[in-house]
Parts: sequence; C-alpha cells; structure tokens
Amino acid sequence: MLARSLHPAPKSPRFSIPGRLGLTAWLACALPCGSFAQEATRPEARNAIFFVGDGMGISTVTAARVFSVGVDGQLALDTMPFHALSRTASSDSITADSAATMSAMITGVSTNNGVISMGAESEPADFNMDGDGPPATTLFELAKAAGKRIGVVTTTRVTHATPAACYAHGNHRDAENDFALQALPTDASYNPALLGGLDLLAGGGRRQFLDASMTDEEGEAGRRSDGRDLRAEFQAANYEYVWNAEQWSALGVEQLPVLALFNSSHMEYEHDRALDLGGEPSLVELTLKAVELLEASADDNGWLLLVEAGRIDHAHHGGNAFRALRETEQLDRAVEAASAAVNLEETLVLVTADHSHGFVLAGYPLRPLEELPYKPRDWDEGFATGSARDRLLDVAYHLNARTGEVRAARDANGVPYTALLYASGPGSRTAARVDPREDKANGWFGAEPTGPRDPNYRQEAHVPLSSETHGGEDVSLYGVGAGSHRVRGTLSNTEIFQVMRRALGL
Amino acid sequence: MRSDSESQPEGPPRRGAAAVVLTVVITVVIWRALEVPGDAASALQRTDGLTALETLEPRATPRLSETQAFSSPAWPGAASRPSLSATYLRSVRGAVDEVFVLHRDAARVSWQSPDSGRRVDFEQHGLDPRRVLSQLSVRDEGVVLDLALGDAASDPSAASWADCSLGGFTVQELTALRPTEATREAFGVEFRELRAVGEHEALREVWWNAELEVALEWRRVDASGEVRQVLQDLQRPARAGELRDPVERHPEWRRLDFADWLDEVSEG
Repeated sequence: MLARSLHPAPKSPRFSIPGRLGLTAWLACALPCGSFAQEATRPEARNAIFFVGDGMGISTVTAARVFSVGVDGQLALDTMPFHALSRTASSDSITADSAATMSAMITGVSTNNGVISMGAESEPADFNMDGDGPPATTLFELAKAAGKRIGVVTTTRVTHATPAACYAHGNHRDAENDFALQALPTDASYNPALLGGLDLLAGGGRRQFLDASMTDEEGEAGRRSDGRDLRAEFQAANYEYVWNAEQWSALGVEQLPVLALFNSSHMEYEHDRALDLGGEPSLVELTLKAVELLEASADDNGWLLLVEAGRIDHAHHGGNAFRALRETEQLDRAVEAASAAVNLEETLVLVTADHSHGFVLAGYPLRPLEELPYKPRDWDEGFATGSARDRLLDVAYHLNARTGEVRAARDANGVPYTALLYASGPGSRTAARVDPREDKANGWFGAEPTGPRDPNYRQEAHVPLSSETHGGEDVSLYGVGAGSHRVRGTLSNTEIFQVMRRALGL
Repeated sequence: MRSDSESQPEGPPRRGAAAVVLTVVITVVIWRALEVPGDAASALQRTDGLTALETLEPRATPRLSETQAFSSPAWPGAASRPSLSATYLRSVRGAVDEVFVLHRDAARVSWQSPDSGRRVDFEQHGLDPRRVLSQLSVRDEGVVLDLALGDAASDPSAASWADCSLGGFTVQELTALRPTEATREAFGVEFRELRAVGEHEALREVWWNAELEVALEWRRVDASGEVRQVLQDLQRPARAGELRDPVERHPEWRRLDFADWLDEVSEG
C-alpha cells in the first residue's frame, strides 16, 4: 500500500527512565529527574481524537446548548462521562492566545503567547534577539514515532496557530508560509520529527501553499514569495491533493497521505458554507472522513487526530454570537458523530477549548412560554412565540412577580437589552442604547440586522474595541473512551498532554 | 508475635528512624509531584479501580438547527456596466448625513465613505462572474483586509457582482419596483421614477437611469426609520485611479484577512 510504504514501521518509543518504583528509588538517590514517568503498563488507548473548540469558553458551551438543543437538552458534550476544568494562562499572560495554549496542550510545555511549540525561553519573534530554545516535542511527533497514523483537521488555515502547533515549531504564529514547509517531507526545513510525515492535513489555507503570482482553484492568489507551488510539491512527495467537498468525500484509504485545502484562507463559517465556490465539507464530514481514513490505514499502533473548530473564536472576535454558536454546534455534532464511529474501548476522545472569550449569558431571560411551569397573566407580543434559541438571542423577558406579567427587561433608562453580551469588542454602540429589536447599527459586515435574532446581529459590548478579546477563565475539558478517566479536577492545560500521552502509552 | 521495632520503648527518635521517615516523606512528595496530571492524580487513583471505560449516553434531544439550513442568496447574472463615479449624500434615519461614493467600471466596484476613512473594493470573481472578491481598506489602521465570501454576503447589497454595482440595494429589490410616468433630469441624464407596489417593500422609491444603470435618488423605509441617498455629482468614466487594486493604491499598508486582523488587534 502506498501510504504504508511512505511510513516506515515505527520503533516503539520507550523512555529509558524506569517504572514508578524504580523511578522513586532513582529519585531518592538524588539523581537528575526527567519529566516523563513511564508506566510499565500497556497503552489503554490505541487511538485518540483531540477536539479543540477555539475560544469555546463555558458560557459559549452553555449558550450553544440552549441554541442547539434547548434549555434542558443535552449536547453530546453533556453526555461525556468525565469532565475537568483546564487552566489556560500562558507563560507570559494571564489571558492566553491560541498559539501558547495549543502548544501547551500538545507538548506539555507552557510557553508565551504567539509561540508555536517552543519553550518559554522563546520570546515571540525573538524580540530580544537572544535566540530560541529547543522545540518542544509534540504529541503528534511522539505518536508518529510510535507508528501511529497522524491527522490534523481544522476549519482555519492548516498553518494557523492551533493546527500548526501539532506539526511545526516557531517563535511566531505568523510564520505560516514556513509552517507549510515544515510539513513538506521533501523540503530542507521539513520537521524531521514527523518521520514519514503527516498522514492527513485538512482545512483552509491554500494561499500559504502558493506563490503570489499563482491563482488557486477558486480564483484567489497565493501569498508565498518564493515562486513555489506546494500543492505540486506535496503531490510529488506522494500526497494526494484535494480541494473541494466532493473530492474529499470520494477519498479512499489507498490515497493517504492526503493534503486537503478547501479555501484560500480560513474555511467559511458553517452559517455561510453554502456560499463557497468549490464546496466545503462541514466539520462533521471532515471529522468522519478523517476517522475513516486513519482507521482503515492504521495497523495495531492506531492513530491520533486533531479536530479544531477554529472559527468559534473568529465569530466571537467579531462580536457575532450567532455564528460562534453555530460553529460550536458543529463541533458538538462532530464529537457525537466521531464518538459513534470509533470503538471507545480503544479510543480516547477529548474535547476542550484553548481559551475563553469575554462572552456572557446574563439578564435572567425566561424560558419559552410553553416551557414555563406557570401561566403568566399577560405577556408582551414578542414573548408569545419562539423557541429556546429565540429566547436566548432575543431581548430578555422577565416575570413581574407582583403582577404576573412578562415584559421585556429594561435598563436604568428603560431600554430593553439582550441576554447575550460581550465585555468588549465591535458591538459597542457609540450612540445611546436603543431597543435591540430596532437597532440597525453595527451589523455583521454592514448588514442591517432585523433584530437580535438575526444571524448578522452583533451583540452589544461594554468596552469599544475593534475586536472582542479572549477571556482568561478556566475552560472545560470533556473525556470519553479509553483512558478518559484521568479527566478530573482542575488541570493545567499542559496536563492535557499528559492525559493523552499516558492513555496512548507514549 | 511483636516485632522488635514494636517493642522499642518510647523515647526520642533515633537518627536512623528520622532518616527513614524523611526518606518516606521525600519519596511521597516526589511521587506525587511526578504523578500526572497533577491535580488529577488523586482522581486517577480514585478511578483506577473502576473499569475505566464509559461511553456516551444517547443524546435524546433534537437539534433546533435541523430546520435552519442556510439559503444562499440568488445570484443575478453578470453585469458589465458603464464606467462612472457617483457621489451621494446619504441620510440615515434622520440622524446622520454622510458622503458615499460609488466608483465602477466593467471589472471593479468601489464603495467609499470618506468621512469614516473606510472603503470596500469589489472585484468580479475570475471563475464565477456572478460573485465578488472584496477587500475592506481602513485608513486609520493602514490595512487592506480581505473579506471572505460569507463576510461580504452578509450585506445583501454586497452579496454579488450585480448587487454591489448598484451601491445600496439589490437587483431583486430593484426589479420588484414598478415604473411610473414621472421623470427628472440631472447631470445631463434622465431618470425615471420606480416605486414599490406595496407598503411592505423596504425599498420604496428609486429614480433610475436604465442605460447607465445608476440612481439619482433612492429611499428605503423600515421600522426604525428612513435611509435616503441623493446624487450630488456624476462623472463618466470613473475618476482615474479610483478603481485600482487597493494593495497597489496603498503599497505601504498591510494586507491581511479580516478574521486575522480581529485576532491581531484583540491580542495586541
């Protein structure tokens, strides 16, 4: 098989550090210690899927639940048996960025904002010009060394911070053209720790693979300045290259390794996906095909897959809760579909976020009228109909306990407000607040929203900023399947690496 | 039988015993420090005794999104319109008056809002002439931002090549209007009045020249008020240089994706 011939049989990675008792004795003798304690047990998990919702803080998950399945509904995430909180601070920031957090989760080493899978001694872009430290070994590199198939799937560019941290190293996240070369086995700057290479790399970001003088399949120019067409070079390195949903769905196991680039830049939001010229797969379709290909091609050593819902973060930055929640819903669907498609007796499934956002669900909004355990005496017309999603997005309605009437909740000036709000961002209104149902200002990309239920409505923000900011609070970590029982308590995000490493016996 | 150690009389600990205790303490401390994950260590010990496989329970609740499929806007046919620059005064719900400039030729369209220092440039898509590639230029930030197809399409009047060429309303809205007998002349051009048939149409009135495909005036009304745009100046062809690629027009400005710019300004 072509794929197998490209990926030589692995050596089993066994650290020279002895097992627990030996290690204890070894340390008691005051010898230098290593950070990898290797248990003398067989791996619990053959495979692992690591889902990352970029910017999917706890308030986002809660809002996505109401948005997707109703107040009392269950997301797939809600059914996962193990749960923990994950701390997200980076080495230099209380509130972290995706580069630092993904590096921490996938290498077990904390680093600085902006840095891709390097240690904390690497400043962003080496501004001190004192050189970088060594690269931090990623879980994907360990998995490859153990003979596993490895795949990276994202809705962002495949060279964006989160996916890049799996297979590349660098002192700044913006070096995306370089990250593309680190994944190309025939290039001089290839990451040798990937051995035979990524088996699957899928998402957006074609422009990082094309010179600026070249036009891609959807008519958009590249962003490289070296005259190269990496699509062709990956194909010359035996990769199958596909660029649209139809080709993706037709892929067979014999075509691994695969490079799939569906957009010049990031893939479209799920809400806008139908607009794509060539046709993009959904995150569910991306995930299921990736699982199918990796499972069919893997031997007893199994496989490791990253799935990133990368555009939750982008929608939040833009102050648009609707798109952020649609993206989160897609991630949840992908988790549900993947968990049903794999054998959980041999597969670990983890889901987490790299960081949160300044996004809140507040203001005591009532449930939909038909869900109330009492019948109000009267209610505003706007409250008469609508699902839980409508109640979530709309202005908040309160019950007046004295009169039994349901009315739109109002601020100190008598103006209604929504339950979903941002602490900062482009949703800040420069003029005095107006009823959100009549607020035409500040819609998504110039759209004039018909009200807060409109997909193009931008929720109000307190601090006026061009872009809404990340949140620094802990995020959720969910687990199911082999080795997921370690998902408990409050963990540092670096310990998520250890949860996966131990489950996979790496 | 009691061991020798148990038979030791009580008294001050001996140095050897202290060393043993210290060794045990150090060992436990080191052991706990090495156990991973840190805070989950005790959790791990508590749960290791379980059969550590649990599966997802069936998720019984239906998704509210099942019926929320996104419908792509209709794509009007490709248009090739006369080159022009049209300067309008736009009144927004009685509160704001702003200058809006539409530049247009056969392959490019530009919407300029000089007061805000923002400009959107549209280029007809090379593979699908119904579509547009669009870029937002922000003068104060010195950036040219590439917009995704979905970004631009959020504004129906920017959703397609034909729509963005009109500068404020859609082809669908325009074709829903009915011509009256009324005409006006301005800038050497005759404009015919087109009016909405019913009161439910947001676009109520357009004074339109079909040959140039340009409006003298249009009026939109919705629940929150009225938007009116009135032509102040018309030049044919478009003013030189206004339809150049924004990256060529501002070579010193940075070019990046809108989404990446949001990331960047957010994270400093």
